[in-house]
Amino acid sequence: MIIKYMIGIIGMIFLFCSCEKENEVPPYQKTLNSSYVMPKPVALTAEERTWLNDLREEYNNAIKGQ
Amino acid sequence: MGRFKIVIIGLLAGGLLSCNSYLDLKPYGQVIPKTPDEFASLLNSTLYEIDYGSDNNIIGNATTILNYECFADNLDANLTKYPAGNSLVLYVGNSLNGMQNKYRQLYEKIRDCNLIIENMKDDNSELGKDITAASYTLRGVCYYNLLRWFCEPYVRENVDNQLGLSLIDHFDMEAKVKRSNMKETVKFIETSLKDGLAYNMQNDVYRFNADVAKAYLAKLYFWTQNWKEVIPLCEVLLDKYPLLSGTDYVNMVQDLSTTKTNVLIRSAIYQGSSSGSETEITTSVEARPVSKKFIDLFIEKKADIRYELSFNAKREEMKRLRGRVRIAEIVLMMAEAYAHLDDTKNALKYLNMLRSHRISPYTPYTEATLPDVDTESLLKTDATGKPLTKLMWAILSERQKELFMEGDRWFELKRNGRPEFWVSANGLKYTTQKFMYTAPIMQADVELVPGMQQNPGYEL
Repeated sequence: MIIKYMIGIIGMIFLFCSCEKENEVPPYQKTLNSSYVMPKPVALTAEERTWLNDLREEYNNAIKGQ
Repeated sequence: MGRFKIVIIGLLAGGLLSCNSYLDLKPYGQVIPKTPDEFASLLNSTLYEIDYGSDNNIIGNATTILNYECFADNLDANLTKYPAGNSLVLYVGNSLNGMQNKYRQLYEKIRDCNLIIENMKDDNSELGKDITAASYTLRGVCYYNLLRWFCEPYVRENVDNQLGLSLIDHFDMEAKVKRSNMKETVKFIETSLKDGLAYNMQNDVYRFNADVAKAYLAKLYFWTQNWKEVIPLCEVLLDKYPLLSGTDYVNMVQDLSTTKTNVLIRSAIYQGSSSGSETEITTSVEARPVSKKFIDLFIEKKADIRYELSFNAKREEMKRLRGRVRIAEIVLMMAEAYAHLDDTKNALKYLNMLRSHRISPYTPYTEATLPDVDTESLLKTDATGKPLTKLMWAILSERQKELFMEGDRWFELKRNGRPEFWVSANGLKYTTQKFMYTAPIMQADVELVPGMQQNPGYEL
């Protein structure tokens, strides 16, 4: 009777241990978000606005009549 | 009793035989090619993309080139006309996250090359050799592109500590390779290009022939400040493909489909019908004028053939947008390499060689007549971090003029000090910061590969 149980137990061991990597699953990503944060734009200063206006004025004058 | 034995035997059989191998089959859904023709088809899909202008990673198509120019300073983003200019990228920050796709797609090409290289080794047929040669060179080119985008600029004193790339030289879909250092990466690319070159493949059908391998090897040495190695490779190429001038030069730059002897490799030899064709893109770029600073580089004005070739009176850019490697870049690399080696005579020789093919009437530069460095320019230092000399300024300016709208300027800014600059839209200021010259590698790789490091500056 004991032998029967032993054979049964050994059989079960083989059954459950035969798959070496029973937990093998494809690796998964923990984070779904793959977007990195870019620096936020800042408001132009008055000086920078003036510089931009000068730049646009120079451009408009240069292409006038073209 | 008999039934019990049968159950036990059944369990044992099941236990011993289960999960033996059938569960280990991976559902890749693909088979490895066997014949040279099958391998050729693997390569042909990439070559087709380059030829028909849909490749945006290897040589780059019109969209790629336009985006690279939008990141840099040849066009003036502050003068963009809206709404026509809405389709144009404002600055590099808008595209950096998308660069993760470029990273993935380049590694997919590398995977295909590895598959061919590994499995074609024993094939001695001409086709087999040509495909293997092209695969080695293409792999080197892919890694070179990864190096320029995903690694910080080369610093000679720090190559052992600078982050390099994941170096994968065999076909393994489950490889998890962390990043090497800069030194190992450069060596790997050099070896791959030299392996391609060793076949001396001359067959133009496979595009990545021996001359292309030489050109990219020279570009690699140039990027990594190995000046002495740049020169002999460039000399060989220049000897074989003398510079064009006049109408031949204009045709070489502008022709839709012809290839001229000064172009070693280019995109869109055949104009496809896909969106992003050269014609379609060239129309959209009119919304962003050419910058005055760039125009002012043309001291000789219309005597320089590139003046009217590059832009019109409305400051709209006029050049065909396409990815290409051509001899003028080789000449400029020689001039700069000699300048870094303190050989002013030869640096001037090659600088003047290029200018003599572009300017008429032409007076050669001498050390005494070199123009002053523009202190208002974005570039303040050369590739080694030294302040710009008159000679270096002249060479870099010549390069900016010659390779205008060819996707070169962004990498020149990166190579020469990564200057920070800002552009404006809707009253807001967007700054290209130093770290943004280096794109983030794929976030999935950072998470899945043990020890994989992201480039500095990138936070989720």
